[in-house]
Amino acid sequence: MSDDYVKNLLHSAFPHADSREPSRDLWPSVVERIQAPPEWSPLDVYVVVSVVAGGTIALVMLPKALLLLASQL
Amino acid sequence: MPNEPDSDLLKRFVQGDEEAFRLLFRQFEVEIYRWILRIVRDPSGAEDVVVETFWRAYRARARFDSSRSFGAWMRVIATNAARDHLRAMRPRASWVETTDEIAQSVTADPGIDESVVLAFRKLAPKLQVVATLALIEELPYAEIADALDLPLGTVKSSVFRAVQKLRKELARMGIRR
Repeated sequence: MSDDYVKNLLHSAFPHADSREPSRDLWPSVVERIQAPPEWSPLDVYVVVSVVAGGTIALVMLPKALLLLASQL
Repeated sequence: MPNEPDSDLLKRFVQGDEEAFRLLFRQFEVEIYRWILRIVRDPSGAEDVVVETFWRAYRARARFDSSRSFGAWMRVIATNAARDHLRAMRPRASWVETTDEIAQSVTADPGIDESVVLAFRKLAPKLQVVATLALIEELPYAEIADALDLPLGTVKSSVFRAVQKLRKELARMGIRR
């Protein structure tokens, strides 16, 4: 199968998409998006859960070490 | 792309002036929409990506280097947003239906068009973007490299890999010549 044949298949399956315009005014959606409260990403959730879980485990396993750390603050 | 906005407007945009941002949006929305549509090939999806693009631009405004072209900066953001959209759409079986709005068949056998669309959507989103711009839209490699913020050599090798993978997938589907 030649490169030109692949290109022809693509041109047939995906005709050019020129000179279209959005079907609605998108500015209100942009403003809404900007004003929306920030979403939590999966990474944010992972970090928060890890910190809370780590702190809880440390509190249970090493209460004295935490008291020692707290006294240094 | 439209003419470059004046430096005062860009300065106000960087400082977070919403009116300056609105003016920039009005100046670039259609061009950005058309650019995104070329990549995602779905009018409704392209509108969502335009919103995402301008939101990303607004969020990143402090990092905009006013010595560079605003249009080129927007195009890079739009390309990345379009690629993320393709990535999100990739596992969905409805892809062929969503592309039908643009992909009105021009071959004698619509089944072949459908197979080509399916094979194309199996490519990694990065390869889809490069292949769309190079093979379907036939943009010069240098322009693609600018839009994707990639070296020219990477664009060329990506197009080569995309064609290889497409050829293999199409042959697997029984399309040979």
